[in-house]
Amino acid sequence: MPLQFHPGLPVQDPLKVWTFNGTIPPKLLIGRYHEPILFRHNNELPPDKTQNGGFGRHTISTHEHNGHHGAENDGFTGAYFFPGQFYDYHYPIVLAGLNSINTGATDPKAATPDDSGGKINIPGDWRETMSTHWFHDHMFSFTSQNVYKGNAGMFNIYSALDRGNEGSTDGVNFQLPSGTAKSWGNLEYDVNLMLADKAFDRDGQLFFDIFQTDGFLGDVMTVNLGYKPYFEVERRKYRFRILNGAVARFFKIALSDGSTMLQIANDGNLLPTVVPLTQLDEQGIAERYDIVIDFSRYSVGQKVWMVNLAEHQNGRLPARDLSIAEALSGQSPDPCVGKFLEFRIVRNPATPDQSKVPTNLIPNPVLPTGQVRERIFEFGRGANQRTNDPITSFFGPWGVRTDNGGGGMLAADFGTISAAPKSRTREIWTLRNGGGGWDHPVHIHFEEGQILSRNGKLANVPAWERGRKDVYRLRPGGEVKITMQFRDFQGMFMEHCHNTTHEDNAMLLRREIDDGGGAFLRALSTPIPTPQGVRFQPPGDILQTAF
Amino acid sequence: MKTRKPLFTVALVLLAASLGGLVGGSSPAFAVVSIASTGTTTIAYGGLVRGNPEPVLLVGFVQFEMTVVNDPDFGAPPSVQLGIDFSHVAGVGTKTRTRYVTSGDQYLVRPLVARDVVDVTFAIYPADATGFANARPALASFTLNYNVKAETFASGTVSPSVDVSLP
Repeated sequence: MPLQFHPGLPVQDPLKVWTFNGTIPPKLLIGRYHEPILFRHNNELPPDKTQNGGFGRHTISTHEHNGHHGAENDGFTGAYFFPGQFYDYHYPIVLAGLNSINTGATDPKAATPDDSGGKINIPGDWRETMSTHWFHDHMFSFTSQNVYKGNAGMFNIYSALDRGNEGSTDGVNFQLPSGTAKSWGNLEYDVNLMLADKAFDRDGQLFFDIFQTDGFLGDVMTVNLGYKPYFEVERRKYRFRILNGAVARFFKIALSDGSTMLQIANDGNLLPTVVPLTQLDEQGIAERYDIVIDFSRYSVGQKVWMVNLAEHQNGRLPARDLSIAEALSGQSPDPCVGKFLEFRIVRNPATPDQSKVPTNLIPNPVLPTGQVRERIFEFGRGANQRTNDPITSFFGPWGVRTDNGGGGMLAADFGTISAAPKSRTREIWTLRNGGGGWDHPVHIHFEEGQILSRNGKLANVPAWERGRKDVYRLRPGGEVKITMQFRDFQGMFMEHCHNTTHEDNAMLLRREIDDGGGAFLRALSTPIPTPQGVRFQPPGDILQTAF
Repeated sequence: MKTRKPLFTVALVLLAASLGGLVGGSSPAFAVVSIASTGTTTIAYGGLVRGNPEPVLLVGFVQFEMTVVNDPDFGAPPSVQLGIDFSHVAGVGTKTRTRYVTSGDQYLVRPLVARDVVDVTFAIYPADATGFANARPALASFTLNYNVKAETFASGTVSPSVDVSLP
């Protein structure tokens, strides 16, 4: 399709919208466990960096969020490449723990679908099975602009448990809504929804304010880069994989009639138990909520809408979570509140709905006992500029304090090592919001975590956050304590606020997974990409408590 | 999903709560300077949810956690972070006597105003292994009163209407 957000809106200037292959809607990558993917990203953006339509940077680095891959395939913010170059990302698609748990591949739940309706056992921990990812640009200090321009797509990972074939009844497959035509990966009833707010100039061309450092907001809701979409559904169950692909906006989703949805996954990880909800929790940037809606409750000819309840006045945090009636009233000053996706119930199912939603899905991995190192990360304002490398550092109003409080509030520098957990260990991290006037959805690359407490209490962790996650909303003045295991791969990763305006304005840290002198240097050299190739330089700074 | 209390237990706790009035209360923050006050309270809740397959009589109490948060950095008006816990509300089908449980804790951001009406929906469903597949919505409409000057919670009530009625 041409670069149009709606048939009634102008075709976009190619310099304004940068999507994969230059088309809309965004791409969907499909993979399955133990079938490695080689993702070759050709950078065909304009060689002249000023040819960007007013925003965006032509150097890119593609992050597979939240892939369990080697660091060189993570899309590190400093591992960007130039127009005319390509980067080969290798996604092995393995279960975490493959070197230590179920190494003989005997557990029938740790398995991947084959092409004939069966499954193949694989090593690793089946409790680490993931489902809904996405991939997006991670260019240092330009992530918000590049993702906003369209440099993002979604990624479904299939397993024996989450097979994408609701008709397969082998006792392992959950039979979640999907379809039956193919042995795995059916999409008829399994639908990806990438939500993002956009803004347009007076000519109807995409607009972005590069001087807005609190958080850029649009005033037009889009789903899969489409404005005012509708979706024709049958009277049966559908799975929706909802991604918040915005820059700074939080969403809170309900159905217009207040009816129930079943949340089955959070951040790509199927939950331990399904959660019936009439309103989803606030969904921070980069969070994925997988839900099931049963349209059999409606009659043919009826309509129902997805509604956004989270009202923003600025990009720092939602100002108010509205009731459904308030959101539908049209009284909100925020144009992105209210209906944004119409479901038209158009027919009875073409074939019987064989899908199921089991009560119990994937329990959390068993945590190893033993000594656990703890670290604290505080996300706030007023960062110090400790380094001034023109390539690796960026100073902005936001920052992160770590070193257990002794290092001051750090501005971003991908040459600085802030933490270096040892491989094959588990750590507990406290993520703290340093203020009350903003919220931060904090993303930790590579490892899924389990939330141990919110504001000091496990009881504050809601049912839909009791599984594994990779983005943690701190809430104003809030604190989240998580635990993660570091294993299988080592190298250079990041953690940052996924309000990408904050991220780009210095709320980002580099960390490493330290293999203690194994296959990697200690500490790793910092990549410095150039149009002629990459050179490496020693880390500009290593915090005292990093290793 | 949370483990649910039997209905009679809920009723006993409700009685205790109603006798005891509000529990918890506001306390000064010490961990993060932007937190002006924190408080907890319970509000008795009950009503009849109409609709198919049968009306459901709900009874119990809703537990609130309120945190008033200031914004010294940008000077924006204070907000209230509301945590609303419906797990102490349970129901019974008026025809079959089927036991119903609830799901749908809410975490809401609201402005700090003297009187805030907060309408929230939550799910009710039969308390059996697959009951969640037949979940239905119910409504709770709370009126929360705050002492704006002191930035603390004052009192709360709930409307007897529990039916969801939306266009």
